[in-house]
Amino acid sequence: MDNFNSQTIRIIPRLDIKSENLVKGIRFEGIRVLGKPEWFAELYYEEGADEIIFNDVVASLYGRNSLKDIVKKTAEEIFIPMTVCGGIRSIADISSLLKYGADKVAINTAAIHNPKFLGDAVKEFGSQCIVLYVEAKKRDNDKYEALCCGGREQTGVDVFEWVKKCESLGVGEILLTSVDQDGTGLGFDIKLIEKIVSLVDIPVIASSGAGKKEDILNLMHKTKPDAVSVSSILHYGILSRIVADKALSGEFGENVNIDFIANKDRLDFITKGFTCLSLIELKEYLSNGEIKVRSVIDAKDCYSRL
Amino acid sequence: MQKIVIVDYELGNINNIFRAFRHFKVDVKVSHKKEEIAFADKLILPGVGAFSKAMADLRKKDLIDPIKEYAKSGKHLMGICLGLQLLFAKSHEFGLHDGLALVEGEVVKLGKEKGFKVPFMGWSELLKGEQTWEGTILEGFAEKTFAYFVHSFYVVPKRIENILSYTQYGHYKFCSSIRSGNLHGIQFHPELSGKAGLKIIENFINL
Repeated sequence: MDNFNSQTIRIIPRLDIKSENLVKGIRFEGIRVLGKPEWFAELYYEEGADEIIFNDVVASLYGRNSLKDIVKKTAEEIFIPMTVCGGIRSIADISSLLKYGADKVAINTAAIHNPKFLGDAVKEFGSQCIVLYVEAKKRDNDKYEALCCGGREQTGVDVFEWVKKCESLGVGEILLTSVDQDGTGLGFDIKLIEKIVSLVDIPVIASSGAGKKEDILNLMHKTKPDAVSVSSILHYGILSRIVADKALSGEFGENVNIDFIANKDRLDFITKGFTCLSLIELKEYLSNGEIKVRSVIDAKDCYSRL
Repeated sequence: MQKIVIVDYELGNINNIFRAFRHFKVDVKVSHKKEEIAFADKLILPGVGAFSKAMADLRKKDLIDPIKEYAKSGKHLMGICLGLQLLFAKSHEFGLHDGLALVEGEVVKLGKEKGFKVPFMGWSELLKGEQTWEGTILEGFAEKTFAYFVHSFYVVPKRIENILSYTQYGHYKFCSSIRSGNLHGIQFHPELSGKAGLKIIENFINL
């Protein structure tokens, strides 16, 4: 392909966290425990993840952030950019997360309540460190509302005006989720992503809705986000591979939710609509589809662990 | 055991650079003390942010001469990201500013290229430069190994033989790492570049 045409697309596993567990919900609800986030994060690192996002899904709701220990443990093992999202309310919160090993923080609720906070954070830590996290909810007439508190609260804020405003405040990147598509496996909201990509000059991480690898290729052929964040198909991909080889499942101990995966019919029911795969397979597929991704030469060894 | 010192001038997040060195169980320390810099066996000059502010902060902490002295000692020094740029004589970032002038050349802004954003953030490949990678921080690397970048400016060494690697950016290539005697510099972030990044740190430790 034409090497001169584009930057390498980053593929970023997003790990939603509740308490100490990796979870996944549908449209930000119906959360299920999948296992230990550190374990999944390390596996994704081995498989060639370009970055990792940890998102505390209930942090804003409960006024806390329980990611510090997870970030601290993970930072000792993985050496790719780590973005932490959820419940970040102060300069002190950011400082401590960076100290624990985060490279960037993504902010939504606190920014909606006080946009000046974004500007202050950018001044203190630099644009490259501050990501705007958007939870877009579709409204009438092609409009979108920016929700907050893990998709639970309405704000009346128009998403398109909001991202422009935050770009002018200096944020370095946008993590764009769609409350309507997230966890559904029904494909991305391409119109939403396209519009945001065209509105801002900063990198956009597209997220929410990938149910199969074709969804991602389709997205990349229609618009040009700088990165794609993926969760369900990768998480379920790991669980499916463990279920497929039951002999292995004992070895994973508390790292994966055995109850969740013990019953294959149940897993099949939950993952229906998803064509799960590994990060390595996803990158190979995109690369064959003329999308420039970072190849990881030695990643295959770790894949054989599963 | 060799002592590795990461220069601390309170600019940017150096926690993960420290962690990446500690991963190799070496004696590594973050310090702004002149004597610790002078007695270091290896020195790391990190940096994220604006060139002029970095120079001002180094000056405020009275670190410019200690770093220059160290560089003259012949012991290995590695600049990372802005730390690489600071090794150069001049930068065109928001006006013209003097750097440490340990390497001849200047720092210029990435031009606009279709399909590329500035700041350039993400993974890109390391391509062969003007000197062999053998015996350098890139020893053992396959060409086109990916590294993680976050930057808007890049270095243009006056002596092209200082260029250790190039990286493609749109239609042109910029210098993504240098080596000039005991001075090493990389535009990308080894602490964020996965196993390739760790390999660079290991190589630097083993120089």
